[in-house]
Amino acid sequence: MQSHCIEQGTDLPVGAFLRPLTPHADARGSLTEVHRAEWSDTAVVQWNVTRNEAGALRGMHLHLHYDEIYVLPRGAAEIVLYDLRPDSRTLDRCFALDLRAVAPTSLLVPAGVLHGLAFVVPSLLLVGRTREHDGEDDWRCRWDDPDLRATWRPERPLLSDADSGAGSLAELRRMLAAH
Amino acid sequence: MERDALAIPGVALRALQPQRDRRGSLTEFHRSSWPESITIRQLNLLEFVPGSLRGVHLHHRHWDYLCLLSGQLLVGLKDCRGAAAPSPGGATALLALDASQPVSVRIPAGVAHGFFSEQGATLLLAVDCAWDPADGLGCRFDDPALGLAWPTGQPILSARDRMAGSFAELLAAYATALRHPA
Repeated sequence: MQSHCIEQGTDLPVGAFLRPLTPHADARGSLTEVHRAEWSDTAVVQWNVTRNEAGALRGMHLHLHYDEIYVLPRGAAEIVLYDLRPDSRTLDRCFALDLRAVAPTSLLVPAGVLHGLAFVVPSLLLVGRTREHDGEDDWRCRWDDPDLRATWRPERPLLSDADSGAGSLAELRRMLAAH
Repeated sequence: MERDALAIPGVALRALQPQRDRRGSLTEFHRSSWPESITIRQLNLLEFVPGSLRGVHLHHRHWDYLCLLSGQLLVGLKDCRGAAAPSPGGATALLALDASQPVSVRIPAGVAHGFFSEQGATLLLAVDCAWDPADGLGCRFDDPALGLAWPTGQPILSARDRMAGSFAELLAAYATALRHPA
């Protein structure tokens, strides 16, 4: 799988982190440590399980006050990150990377980094959050805004109603400035 | 079977609610604020090949919290806690889980447990302590004194579970662990 973005590879926004995970296999199957509290500076207080159809896209989403951790036990995901933190040295840079269940990895996405995930095949994604969901702090913009400078693999992804009705990156910036 | 599990003090079940849309679904597995949950220190993903059994295990310190992601799983529970000391007379339960009806299960310290999957399964298993080999006691899954009616006599086991001792030996080791906490 390939994504086309200004920055490619394992280059990541400041504070984002990729951790390879190790499945321990025996005759019964395998055990993989997905997360340990000491791996993260802040406590994960909620874990969600998402099931994703081939062609589904979740994004672009932004949270100002909590981090997220992604782990993909099944399938494959293309991830686009865009740094919107004013004090970050990776401000306004776009990053693309892949998560694949065959090479299990966890990805920490810090608060202030806009993110979207597209699923090429049916996929299972675990999402850890450092704040419980309360409907607040959920910002978004259109996944295909040209200002993101990201070219996604799916051309007509399956979106939620909220994501398909999202505004532009410029509108998101204006809302953040007024916030 | 659910009633039997709930008869064990501290065991808690929570029906999880998938929110579906055209992309798929989102299911909240854990929130720190849920009374049925635990404070998660470590989260593990376990794959079961068909016919495999993990257990029977007992932790004297940590609690488990789990949810099935795919397949079916039989969870065997045996309460080993007594009023004053470990007891062989605690309640027993066999709980059948199916990933199509997601439910979370909390297993307290002192409740011995085993997991069997006939057709294969994927399990999300959280614990409230970092993994500690000193907090992992076990016994033979098929010791009749456990009172667990597993549907198989010859599951795929780890070498450690295959060589495990009796339920009576487990209770003695549990009593020692409680007297001499590390």
